[in-house]
Amino acid sequence: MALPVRLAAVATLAALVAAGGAVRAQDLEYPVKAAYLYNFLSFIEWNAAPPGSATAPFRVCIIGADPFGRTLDDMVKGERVGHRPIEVARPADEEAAATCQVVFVARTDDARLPTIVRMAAGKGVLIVGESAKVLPACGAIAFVQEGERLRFDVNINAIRRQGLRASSKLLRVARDASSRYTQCDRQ
Amino acid sequence: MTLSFRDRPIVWKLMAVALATVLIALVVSTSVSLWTTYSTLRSGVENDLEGQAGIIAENTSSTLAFDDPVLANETLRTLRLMPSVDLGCLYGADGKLFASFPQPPIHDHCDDKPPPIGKSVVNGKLHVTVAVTQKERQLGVFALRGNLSRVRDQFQAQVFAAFVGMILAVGAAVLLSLRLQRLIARPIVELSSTAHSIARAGDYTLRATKANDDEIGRLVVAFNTMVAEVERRDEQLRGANRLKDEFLATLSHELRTPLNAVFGWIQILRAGGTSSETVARAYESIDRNARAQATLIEDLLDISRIVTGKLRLRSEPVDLKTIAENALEVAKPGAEAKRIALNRQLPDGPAEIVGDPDRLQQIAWNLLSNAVKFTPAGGAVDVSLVGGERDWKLIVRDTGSGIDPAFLPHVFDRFRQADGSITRRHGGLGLGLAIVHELTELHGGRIEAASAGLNRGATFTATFPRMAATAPIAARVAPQPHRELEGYTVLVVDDDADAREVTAAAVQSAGGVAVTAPSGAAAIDALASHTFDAALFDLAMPQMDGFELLRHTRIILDATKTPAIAVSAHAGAEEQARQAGFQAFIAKPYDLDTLVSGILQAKEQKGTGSLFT
Repeated sequence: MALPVRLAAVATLAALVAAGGAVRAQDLEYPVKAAYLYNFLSFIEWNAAPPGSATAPFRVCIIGADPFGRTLDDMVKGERVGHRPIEVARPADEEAAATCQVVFVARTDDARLPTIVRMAAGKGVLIVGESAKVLPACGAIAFVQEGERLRFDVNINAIRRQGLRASSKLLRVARDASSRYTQCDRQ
Repeated sequence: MTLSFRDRPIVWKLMAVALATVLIALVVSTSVSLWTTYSTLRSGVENDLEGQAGIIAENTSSTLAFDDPVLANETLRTLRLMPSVDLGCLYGADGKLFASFPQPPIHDHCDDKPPPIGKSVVNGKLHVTVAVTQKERQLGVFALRGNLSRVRDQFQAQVFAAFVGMILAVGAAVLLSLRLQRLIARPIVELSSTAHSIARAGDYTLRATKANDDEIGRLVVAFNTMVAEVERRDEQLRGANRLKDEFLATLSHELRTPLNAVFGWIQILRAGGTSSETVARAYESIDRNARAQATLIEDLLDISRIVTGKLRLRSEPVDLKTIAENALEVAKPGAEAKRIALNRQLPDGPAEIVGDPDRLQQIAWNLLSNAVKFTPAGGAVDVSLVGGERDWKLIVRDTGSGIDPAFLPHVFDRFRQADGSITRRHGGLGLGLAIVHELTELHGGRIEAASAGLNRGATFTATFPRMAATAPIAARVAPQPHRELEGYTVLVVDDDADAREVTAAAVQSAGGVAVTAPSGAAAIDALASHTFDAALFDLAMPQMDGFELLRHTRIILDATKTPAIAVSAHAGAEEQARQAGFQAFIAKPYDLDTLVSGILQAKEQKGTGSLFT
């Protein structure tokens, strides 16, 4: 079935990770982040698709600068979440965040986070960033570089506020899974 | 020599059966149970290991997804709680080892490559390999190696327990079969040994002991009954043998005694010079002793006829009163000699029954002579004839020596005498009463003996049924032996010279003329040249016997109306002789009366036509 293809996708990450020693960390940062971003999809309980659109595309949106290039597109090509084919989108406006299931905000676009958070509030959108400002701004997951390893922190309140649920296995692997951002629970 | 199972003792067989049953049942059930246990244990361990592999795979998916080998190793370390697990290896999607338990540098090492997904047992090790997936995405492979030593240990414990149980069960079976032996085998073994000792020692007084009421008990009872029967017959046989021996001793003694007198007197007569009174006494004594011996032989022949069923009775009206009177008449001299009073109580009219007058006479005479014989001098003998509605009772009562109550039941037995010793006071063969008993019963009557005890007398009662119709009875003609053959010429044919001469002398003493012939040929010559009034043929002669002689001379005899009379010592020949055409049969030895009356009767028949041909 689709397993070999998915296995191939994971293998890409593993290959990337394994090759970490040989290649400069600088060059590997975004391919690894792309793989993590893709892996997050498996450890989140997503909301059901709206009625009548069970096979509507599962949108992974990059709002603002796109540090991935084609890496992410190649990785999710032909992959699905449930019955929904994964689609990488690059909307220009923060308003589009509500139509996405995942929104990635690059470090350079941290300023757009408050708007995006507000637009996506209660829409079941996982907001992923890559700076220390992401979680205080009620983003869900923030990538953290820890030495050579790429790790991530989780804002449990933000995830809960979006009506999503993170797998305990995800939280276990997280560097910091925190529920101290209680302001994010407020609507 | 080896004994086959069939020939072994029952005890052994019972034990073997019990043990074999128990062992077979135990081996079968234990095998089944052990096999089940082993399967259960093994599948339990397998399930444990598979479940553990699944749990580890589930809990390590995120460590693979987010590259966290430290957490993966931590997760795998939980395997230390599973004693059956030797090795756990987590491989990434690229097939490289990601985490392992135990951590290097411990002796066991994971393979570089992940094994294929599935389950296998190699060298007693269980290999379980599962895919690590998250939401249907395979993130890696987890391989777990477990050992089945726990299964082996538990199985060995079970086998040991089963072995101990088997020993206990065999012990219980042995105890039980020992008990069973008491119930089953021991009675059989005892019966068998009792039977063996009876067969070996011939001691039929032994009996087997009955233990239970089952088939064996019934067998014991039946066995004892049979042994009792054998014992009874054995005693009977010994008794009969003893009787026979006693009888033979008595017989030879009784037969010899008269001969002593006869030979003694003959020697005296031969010597000559004896007075005429002595000669008369000699003749008297010789006659009496010869008669006594003839009586003995007659008794023997009677018993022989009775035993072989050859005794034939005539059936004609008889007056018991005449019989009793005749007997009293004959007994009178003997009774007078001993000063014994002979009392009679006879009816006025005749006492009529049907029977053989000679045999009835024999009965009366035997009873009366016995009474006189056993009554001491000065005693009394009563003879009475009592008529009942249906029968006549001839009662002979004496005041003699009586009968021991112990002997009373045997008084009519053959060859049995109260005093079997050689020094006994009374002679005789002990056949008289037996003959009386048999003859009475042959007449449809019965005889009873009663006695108040020793020296208190005895009473014999012979009961005969009355005759059905009252036909007139021909008065019994008393024999008139004197000179009845006056004018008769009789041919005497016998190969034995003594017999020939005695017979010729008898004919002459009765007034007749005897012509003798020593063989059949001589007899034919004599018959061809003379006419006789009667011809006496000995039946048993060499070359030509009496029967053949009769066939050859029948025409002459018929033409001259000469009766042929068969003479034989063989009592059974009478019927044969009559069928062959003889007018009369005279059994040897015979007295003069018998010879004369035989000749007269035969002559009479021949004159009017033979009754028998």
